[in-house]
Amino acid sequence: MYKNHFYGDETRWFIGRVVDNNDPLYLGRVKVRIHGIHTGSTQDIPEYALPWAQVVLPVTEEGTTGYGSNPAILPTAQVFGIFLDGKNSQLPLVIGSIPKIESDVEEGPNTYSPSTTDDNLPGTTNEEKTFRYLISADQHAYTPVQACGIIGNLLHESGLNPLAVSQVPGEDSFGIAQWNPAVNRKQELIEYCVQNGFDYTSLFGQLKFLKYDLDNTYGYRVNKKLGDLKDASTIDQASKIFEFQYERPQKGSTQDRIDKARKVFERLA
Amino acid sequence: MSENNLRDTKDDFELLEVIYSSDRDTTILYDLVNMVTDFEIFEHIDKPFITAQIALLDTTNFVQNVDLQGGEKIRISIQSKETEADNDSITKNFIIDKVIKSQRADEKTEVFYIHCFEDIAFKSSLININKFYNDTPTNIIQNIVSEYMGRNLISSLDQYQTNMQVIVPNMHPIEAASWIKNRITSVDGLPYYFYSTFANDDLYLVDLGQLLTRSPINRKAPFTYIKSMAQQFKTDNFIPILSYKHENIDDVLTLIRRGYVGASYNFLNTLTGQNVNCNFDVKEDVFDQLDEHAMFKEQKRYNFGSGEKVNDIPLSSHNSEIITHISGNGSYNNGNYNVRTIDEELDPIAYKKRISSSALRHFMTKAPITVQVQGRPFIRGTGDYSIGNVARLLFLDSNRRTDETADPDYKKSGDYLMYAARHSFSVRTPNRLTTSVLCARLSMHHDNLSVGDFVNV
Repeated sequence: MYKNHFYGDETRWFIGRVVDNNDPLYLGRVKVRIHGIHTGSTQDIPEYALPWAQVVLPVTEEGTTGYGSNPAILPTAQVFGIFLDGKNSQLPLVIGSIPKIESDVEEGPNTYSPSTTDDNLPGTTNEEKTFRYLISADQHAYTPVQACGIIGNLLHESGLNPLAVSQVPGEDSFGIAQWNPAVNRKQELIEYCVQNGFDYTSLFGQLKFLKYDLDNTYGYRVNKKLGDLKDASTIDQASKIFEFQYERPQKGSTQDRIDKARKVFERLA
Repeated sequence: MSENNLRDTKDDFELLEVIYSSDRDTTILYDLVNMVTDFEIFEHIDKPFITAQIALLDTTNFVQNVDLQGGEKIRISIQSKETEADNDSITKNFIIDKVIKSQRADEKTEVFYIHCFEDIAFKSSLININKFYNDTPTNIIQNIVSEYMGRNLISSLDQYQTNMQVIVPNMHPIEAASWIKNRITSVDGLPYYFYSTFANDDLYLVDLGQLLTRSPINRKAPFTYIKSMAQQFKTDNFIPILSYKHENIDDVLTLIRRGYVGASYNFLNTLTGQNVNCNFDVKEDVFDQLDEHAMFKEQKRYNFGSGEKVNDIPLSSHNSEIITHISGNGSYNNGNYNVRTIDEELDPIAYKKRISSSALRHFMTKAPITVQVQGRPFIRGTGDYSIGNVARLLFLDSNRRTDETADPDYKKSGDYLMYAARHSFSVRTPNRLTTSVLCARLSMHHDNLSVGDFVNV
């Protein structure tokens, strides 16, 4: 079964580039695109599929729960590490970072590039991409009014930044709709994307999940006392339905969401 | 026609064509039938492809004229001559990977020995997979086979294996499929085999339980090494073993040192810091389990002397090896703990099944025997006479009785899995085919059967 009887005899080292440090388990793990093991093709190995690497801390840190500091490696850092499982190469462990000369253009096959799936969305801005996707026939097609009601909310929540993380201490809501991990929403986003081969950090993956969520899960989750989003005929109505039945934030932001929705409508519809 | 009368007709087979072609000059197709003097075809249950070795008698400067460089194609078509009605032929496509050697027969004649891989294997070596998969192991293998190998996969259905997430780390398709295959077990902890046969173009992914419980293909006419008794029985009841080899068997010490008899296995998860410990005892964890599931009804004496002791402790109760590996570090854990990667199991029992599976794979080849028999049945193309099927062998023990009550040699007789085969075609007058079959098994009969029982079952 194993060539060696002791795991330490199977070590394989690597150099890679950090692409994500937003560890859902809060253990300071990082995703690393490893030179020579993870192709540069984000089709074959999308970013969401990269393994999380544990990170070694210096022995001057306590190394036990509640003490010491966390790893602080940032995306784009060049790191050195080993595979704990040798040539199987599924279990990376980062030992340290390797300073390098920074350049505007990273070269090489493993250079991180935005998901090509995002590029496939028509439109030039995230706002336009989202609008055109929501009114498209992929899953349910929303009317322009309904789409703008949704987008006004998303702009309020995240500025339509798919990598946005909540600034509320301890909340860690994520993505364009600020899906909250405390009520399992972020996990649902990730699971949906993993199952369907989408990058959960991409706009495309999050829009696919949003439409799926609105068409399926959402309808069963909340009381539709304001009516169904699919029946909304005004921007105000669509924005409020999305706010109170999907986002369900604290009170006080309704007007801002509506204003943003109206501006989007003026720009795009 | 009785199988024992195969030699009555002139040829064992007809070599229909041996077509040479090269992409460097697509206008040229050579039929090398008249140049081939001998060729051998190999199949093995651990290999999803076959290989061939061809001897060419070159009197026309063929090799020089075509400028053989490796990578050229060879298509071989053979037809069985077992019966007059045999019209089906077996056609196999190969790619030359090397010339093993050339020898001058005389000043004008040279013999070339060419080695070939089945095209699927050669092409596989040109493809690198570096890709993420999230599926059941069987489906991952199925996807690799259909996407990169273009063959039909026949697999035994076992829903025991749940999803795994892996990034194939730069492997060829066959290598990747075998890598996944080696990590999976059946629900009973039996290993899987991934193979192809000479008989057809399908690929097989089958667990050992299904292989070993198949009915012997020659139940009514075992391969026999009982020349002195041939006259006692109907000739239909025998396919003679022309020769056999039974060497380097029952090496229990190697199995002990590899941790397949008794060992302590540890699987460490560095995400949780938890260690799963499995004390493995091949008797309790493998052979007793097979008994409990009544896996083998007729052959229940296993390839392991479980009564042997050292210091009054059975061999399998010694933790002779301490084997520790890192099974996981949560590398694919995005908040869902029910995600595993290739060496990781969600259920501690699955680790023991994995060890059992590996031990069984090695115990299968603890006491192999190679028998050489007439090869005609193997080229009928029906698929029953091929590796992956069970064959019955019969040898006499050393007593002098030669009637039906004579005892068989239980150490050699019984039902075996055909593990590998070498088909040796001799293209002369008449054409002859002999097949050497490497036979392997986990267990043998109890010593209460006579030769007659073997033949008349």
